[in-house]
Amino acid sequence: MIQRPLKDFVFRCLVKFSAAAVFFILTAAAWSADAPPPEPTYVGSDVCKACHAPQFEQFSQTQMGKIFLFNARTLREKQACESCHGPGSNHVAAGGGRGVGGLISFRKDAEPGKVQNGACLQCHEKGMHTYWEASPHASRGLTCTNCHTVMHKTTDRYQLAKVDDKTPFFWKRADIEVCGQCHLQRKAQLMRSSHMPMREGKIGCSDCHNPHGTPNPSQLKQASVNENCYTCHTERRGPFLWEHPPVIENCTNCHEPHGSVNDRLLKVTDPRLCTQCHQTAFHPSTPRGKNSAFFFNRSCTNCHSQVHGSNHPAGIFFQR
Amino acid sequence: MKTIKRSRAIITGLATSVVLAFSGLAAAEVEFADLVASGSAEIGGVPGTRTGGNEGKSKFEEYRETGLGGWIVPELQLFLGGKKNDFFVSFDSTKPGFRDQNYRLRFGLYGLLDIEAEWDQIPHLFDEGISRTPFRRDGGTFHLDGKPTTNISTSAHCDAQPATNFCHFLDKGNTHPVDLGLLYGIGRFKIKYTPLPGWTLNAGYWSQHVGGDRAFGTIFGTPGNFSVVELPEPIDYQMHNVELGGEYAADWWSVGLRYQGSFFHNNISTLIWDNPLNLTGVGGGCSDSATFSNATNGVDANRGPCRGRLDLYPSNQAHTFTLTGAATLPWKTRFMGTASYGWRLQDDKFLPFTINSAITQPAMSAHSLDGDVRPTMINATVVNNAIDHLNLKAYYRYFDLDNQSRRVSFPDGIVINDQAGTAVSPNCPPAGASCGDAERTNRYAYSKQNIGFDAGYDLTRWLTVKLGTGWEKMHREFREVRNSDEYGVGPTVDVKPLSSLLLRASYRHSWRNPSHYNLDEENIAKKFDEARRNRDRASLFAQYTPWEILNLYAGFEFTKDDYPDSRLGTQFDFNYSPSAGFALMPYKWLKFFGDYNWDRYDWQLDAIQRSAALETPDAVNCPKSGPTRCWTSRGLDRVHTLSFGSDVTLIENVLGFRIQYGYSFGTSRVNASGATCGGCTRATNYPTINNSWQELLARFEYQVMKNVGLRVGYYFNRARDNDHGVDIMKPWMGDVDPSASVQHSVFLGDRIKGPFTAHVGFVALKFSF
Repeated sequence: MIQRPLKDFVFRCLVKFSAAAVFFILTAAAWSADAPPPEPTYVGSDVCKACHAPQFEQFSQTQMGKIFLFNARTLREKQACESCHGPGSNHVAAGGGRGVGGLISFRKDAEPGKVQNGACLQCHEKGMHTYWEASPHASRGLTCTNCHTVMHKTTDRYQLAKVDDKTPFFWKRADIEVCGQCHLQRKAQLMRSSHMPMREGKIGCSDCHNPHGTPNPSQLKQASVNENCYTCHTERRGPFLWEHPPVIENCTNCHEPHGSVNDRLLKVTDPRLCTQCHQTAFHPSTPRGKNSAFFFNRSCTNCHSQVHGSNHPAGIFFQR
Repeated sequence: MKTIKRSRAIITGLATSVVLAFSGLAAAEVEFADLVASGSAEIGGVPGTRTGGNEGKSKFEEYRETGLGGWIVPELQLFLGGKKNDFFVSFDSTKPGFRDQNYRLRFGLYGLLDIEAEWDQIPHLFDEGISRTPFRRDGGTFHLDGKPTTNISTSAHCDAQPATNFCHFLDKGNTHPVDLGLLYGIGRFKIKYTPLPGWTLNAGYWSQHVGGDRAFGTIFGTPGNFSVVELPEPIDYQMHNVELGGEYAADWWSVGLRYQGSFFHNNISTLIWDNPLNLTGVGGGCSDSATFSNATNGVDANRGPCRGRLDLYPSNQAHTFTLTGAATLPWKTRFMGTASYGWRLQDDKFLPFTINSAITQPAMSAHSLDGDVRPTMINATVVNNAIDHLNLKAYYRYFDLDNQSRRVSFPDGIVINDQAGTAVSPNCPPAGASCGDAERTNRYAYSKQNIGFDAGYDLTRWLTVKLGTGWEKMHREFREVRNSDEYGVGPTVDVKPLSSLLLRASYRHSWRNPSHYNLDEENIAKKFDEARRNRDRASLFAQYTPWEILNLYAGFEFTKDDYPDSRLGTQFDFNYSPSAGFALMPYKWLKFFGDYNWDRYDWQLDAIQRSAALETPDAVNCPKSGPTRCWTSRGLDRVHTLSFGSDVTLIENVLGFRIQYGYSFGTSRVNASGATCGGCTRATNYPTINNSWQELLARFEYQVMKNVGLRVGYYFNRARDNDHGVDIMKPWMGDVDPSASVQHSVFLGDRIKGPFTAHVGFVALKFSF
């Protein structure tokens, strides 16, 4: 009789011990592993504002701020701060702090570039940004925030990371300053004697290039170099009765649009520029000296002034 | 023009008054009814001096008007918004009343509508008060009030010629000044409307007027026996652009369609000018002659036409439709594609062959070109990131310039430069002979196809390696090379071993192979844009930020082109360009910055001096059989560019100081040697071109009161330009080059590169509310 209660006792102990062990193991496992955070949820921009009032105020002055905070039409826009930074419940639950709660901070190297850019591309993946994914800038790991600032108003348009500096004498355009951060040679070329009115602020990089990517070479906005140049120099578009083949193919065969030591943005001093190709006839093959009408003034174009094309029946040599 | 300028000044004056009135009333935004208004106006003066006379002014104010010695409103801004933050109206102006003024008016409903109107002016000053011409202009017609009546024929210099000679005629005050410069007036109007979140509609209109005069060379005669008559070409271009587009974007795809129309009209499309070397009289008193020689006396049978005539740029138009689409596909794939098709049209009526009544007009098969060039572009690009850390990109691009213009034939040959005896056509015997179809104009056209593949892999979080390959097939019509292939391959490496260090490097080697270079019998020179070419390009960029206060960066660009099959023509060219810079911010209130770039561009050209009777291919095989006729030219461009400065916040939000300096010094040398044979013109060096540009700005900004700021500055600007080819110009160049061709020419004497030194003060008050 004694054995049975003992047996039961032992059995009950074993059961209890096993249950305790399972409970302990399960509990320990639960505590020892990183508990997956709860799925974050959207808390609304008023919650963000409670701690980030200055940033909120600055953001509300930007065009994006005006849309998100006061004129939102889509769910994404209504999410305001969290539309870009991600849902903030975990950040709030953890009491805030830099990098806490899985928010996208957009700080340098805080998140992979693709994550940061992905936030922008939610809305900005059409129009001039359509080709971003295929652009050289994307493939080199640039982030939108390398060139743009979102949280406070900078430039009138495009929220560039640099600001305009206007003086009565020159105008440092924000877009040139932004591009010049990496394109050092191009920035230096603008200082040359023969230049387009870029340092005067009348033309910027983005007049010809779309840094967000295009299907065209050198991220040009138009389908070819010439189409780009014809935007302003429309008179040279033709078609002409007498065409100058290298001219219709590529303006940059002769011109360096970013700036040159030579007059008229020429890549090579005239008449050598023309002699590069024109050696067939007698007179261009002669190395004329400095005091010759073949050299001084506008050199070859003293006579061949219609070098971009002529529509005159007698214009075969671009003199009429 | 004056009326327009006055109207703009009145508008600007009113806006300035509004700002001043409000800034007197309030120090912050002004609220009334449901509106919030803010704005600022800066008003000041720019006292100073500039040396260099008219030449100096031409360079100093090349693309700007500084208002030296006068008053200026550098910037004006007005902003009106709804208290509900639902709409805005903004107006801003830069340098109102000046030649480089800009006005912009913008209205928007946030997220829904954006309307912008802009007026912008860009001056381009070539020279002012320097050039002189004996011609009077009436539209596109240039006429002389008088001419000498006898004998232009002499090989002596002007001083030794009789008083009746044309050079004395010019010297005796028979010229008058002419200013050379252009003014671009650009009006833009844009609307962006987003009726529904996925839809975007765009419309735009852009007008550009270009007016002014620029130097333009015209010619009588033929090489070896010619006279240049340089004129101030009147420019009166009007361009209208229209753009309409719409785009729809869903969650994973988007599509857009756009139309661009461009209409160019040249209001002065013909240039007619008196021949100063036909001395039989002016106007109706002049009589044409069929032949021209500048070595005779101007009244004989070789006096040439009374007038010359040429066709300036014809009016034209272009239309382009562009369809763009993109889609996000499975397996992290994104497709982007564009197709565009357009027309470039031009059908201005041809001028007759010549204005010379002594010559019978040769026949031509048409009286206008019916110019019709159709550019087509198709692109398809796919990017894939299906495998973690592996980025793939493939693309295809097709660009075609299809020339469907009329081919015009000239059965009687072509009259050159309004004189008889020079009738030629590219593939045609001299005048009088029938050429059949061979002399028809060529319809130059080309197409390009590009295929490329890039693969990039993130080896580690800090190292990305990419390999890119590409192939370009080019097809040309009517040129020396019909088909060519260019292949390219090269790696790209992005290294970021530390968050403070970034290195980017890329290299690409490409080689272009023309399938066949069709050389003319007399020509073995190859054109650089078609010839076989090996190209190497390298690019480096490094950025190091050891501390948040210091940013160091450097870059290096290198390009080298070799033309291995070109015995004559461009042999090589290369460019390398190292740069370095820094930004240091030791304190929040103090920042230093600076950068330096050195740029080198070298090229070599081999050529042969040909005799009047063209050399045979063997004879021109330099240096094999004609070494003494061969010559070589070498170009060497060097440019140093330096800039540095400092920003100092002396009292936060109250007093700041900026100083910055920029310097660029460039030289362009063209050396030449060879062509030593008897009777050859020996190749010699050209005088070195050098130009420098210095710019210093020192500026204090002081916030006197909450709504009044003061800017006080000093601007120093100095430019030096030496370009022998331009510096020596004057209307009569006979004593510069004793050759007959130049002695009988008339130039404007435009020297566009004047040295100057300017010291300019700048004092301005900025009122804001």
